[in-house]
Amino acid sequence: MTEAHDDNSKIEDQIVEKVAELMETLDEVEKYNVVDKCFKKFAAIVISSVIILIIAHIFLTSSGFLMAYNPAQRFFLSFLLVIIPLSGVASGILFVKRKIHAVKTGEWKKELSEGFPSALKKLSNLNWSKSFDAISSGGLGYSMYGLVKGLAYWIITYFTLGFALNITTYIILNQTQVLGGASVWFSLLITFVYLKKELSKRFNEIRALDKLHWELRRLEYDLKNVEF
Amino acid sequence: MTSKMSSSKPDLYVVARIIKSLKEKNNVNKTSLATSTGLAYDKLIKYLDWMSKKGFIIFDDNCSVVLTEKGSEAYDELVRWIMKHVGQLKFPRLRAKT
Repeated sequence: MTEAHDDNSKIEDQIVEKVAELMETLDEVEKYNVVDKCFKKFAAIVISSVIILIIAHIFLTSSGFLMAYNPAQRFFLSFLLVIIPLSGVASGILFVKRKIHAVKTGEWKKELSEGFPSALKKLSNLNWSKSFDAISSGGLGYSMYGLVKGLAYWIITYFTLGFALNITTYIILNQTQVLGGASVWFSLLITFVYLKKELSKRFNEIRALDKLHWELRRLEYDLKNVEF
Repeated sequence: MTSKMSSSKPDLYVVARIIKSLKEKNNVNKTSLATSTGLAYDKLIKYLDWMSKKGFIIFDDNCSVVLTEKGSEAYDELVRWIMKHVGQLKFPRLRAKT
């Protein structure tokens, strides 16, 4: 009898641990959801900075403003424009980071400290549809965020590489724009290599969110049918 | 709650809380049981009524609540059932990165 009671107590503790794990995972899902909610503002910040860069570049090259400077100074002045998208991406990331840090986590810990019945209460009162929505939109927002960030990195790399190639060909051949559109492809390759690890991590996380979605759907279905 | 009780599907965690409390102390009077479970007295009475009909508890001569073998087994079965379904969940290690 006592042995059976001890066994059951152990199982109860395991259930509490498992529910705590579930709640921690849902806290983390909330962070992905925040990325989704912030995505529009993040994209607006990054895209605006890129548009400003393009407009400024067109203005500087077509207005003759740079003619007053020698070629070396012109290079450096054009290169300074990269600061615009750089600060756009940095402030966008900072904005999202701050929102993620503001997510309240672990609020369930006190309630769960009351053992098995409280774990059961957590499971019974879980807003499943809200959690499913959070997982779906979180995954989508997270991938869109990664896409915009990747595009912004590409544009920054393109401008930086363009500058580096032009200054090299200017020093060697005393000419610029020698390599034509090569910097577009080179910058794409560099960005891909730089973000490869992050892209693969992001892909795995989105897959994990998908898996979690199905695990929770199954649990919800099972719990619906439980009764004394 | 009343509608739930009448449709014979009470809140599982409330029943679990009552049984757990009864398991810890063999027989308890209703007032102490309401205190130890944190339930409002009238809510507890409705649950006890439902549990008594199910044969999970009986009332002794002093009107104290006593957990039956059936009640204890039902609780243990619920614990095992939940473990069977919750225990097989595998949660991914997530970490939202910017």
